[in-house]
Amino acid sequence: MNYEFLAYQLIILFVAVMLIIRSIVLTIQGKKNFRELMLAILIWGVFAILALFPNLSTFIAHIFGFELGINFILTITTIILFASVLHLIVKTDKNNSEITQLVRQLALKEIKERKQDN
Amino acid sequence: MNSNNKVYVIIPAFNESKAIGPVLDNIKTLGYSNIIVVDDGSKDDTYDIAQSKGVIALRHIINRGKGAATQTGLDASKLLGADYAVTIDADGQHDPAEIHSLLTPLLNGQYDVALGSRLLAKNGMPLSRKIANKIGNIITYIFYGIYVSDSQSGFRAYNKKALGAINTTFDRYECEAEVLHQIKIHNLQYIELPISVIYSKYSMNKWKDIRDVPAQTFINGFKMVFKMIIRSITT
Repeated sequence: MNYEFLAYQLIILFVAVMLIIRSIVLTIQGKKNFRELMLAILIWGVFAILALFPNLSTFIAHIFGFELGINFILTITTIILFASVLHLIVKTDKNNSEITQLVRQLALKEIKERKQDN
Repeated sequence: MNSNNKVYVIIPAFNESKAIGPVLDNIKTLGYSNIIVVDDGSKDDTYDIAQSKGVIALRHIINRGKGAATQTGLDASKLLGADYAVTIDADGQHDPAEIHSLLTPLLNGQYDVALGSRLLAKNGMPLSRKIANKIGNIITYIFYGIYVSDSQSGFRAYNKKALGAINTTFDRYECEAEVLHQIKIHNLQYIELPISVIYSKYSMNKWKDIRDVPAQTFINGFKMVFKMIIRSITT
């Protein structure tokens, strides 16, 4: 079988492989845990496979009822981005609540100490 | 008023050095000696002025918003053994003489919470604010299933039962609506009472200057709705 790679496929493949190698190195150095490594391999592996076999996205798209592979990729990307933003907002909200709790405890410290003394 | 009842007046304040002094003087003149000022990370002399007036001055080391400061004040009143707590704004837009009107139905044992309503009073608010407030009321009803005439009012009174039940988690102006939600959850008896509103040149101008502006503006209204949606999804 004779494959002809386009430039964008090679770039995506190169970036995906580099990022997977980087994740492996970071895991060996103890800066990433095993779960994070698996997640990185999964995400960038999917990119690498789709870059190598672009028609695969059309095949998967058809399974999910999309006409074109690009529509499927855009829809999935939008969902992932939306979920990520929501996750960040929730996390920020939680952090803000914790900061408020801390600030409140500092403000009430004197009253609590006075109450304990009595 | 029965002198055995411990009434605490709670004033969340952010950069209110120009107004807080006269507000405290007015409240003290009316005979309320238990006053808690929660300075919400002000950059001006708000905290020092409150201290100089001999009230309980608490300080948030960084600004956390009106809701957070109000809850800190309510927590402080609980620690100090309050029977009743009244929250009032620091900018002088509320008339301290009306504290007694809010407390009366609570002292009679009929209600747990008294909500001051600027819209029930004859000299209410400007039309633009009335519309914004109405929208806020509808949004509060949609999210929390409780409809009141002034969902954003900060002039409220609570008895001991309500103080024990209410614990808000929103930091900014969404907390006023959250209180209503908790009133419903804990099945607290509440009454709405008309309160006058004093829109002084100072209180009108300061909204332009400070970061944590009231929810009556539409932009903050949208922010409020967004936060409420996020909370309703995630909790």
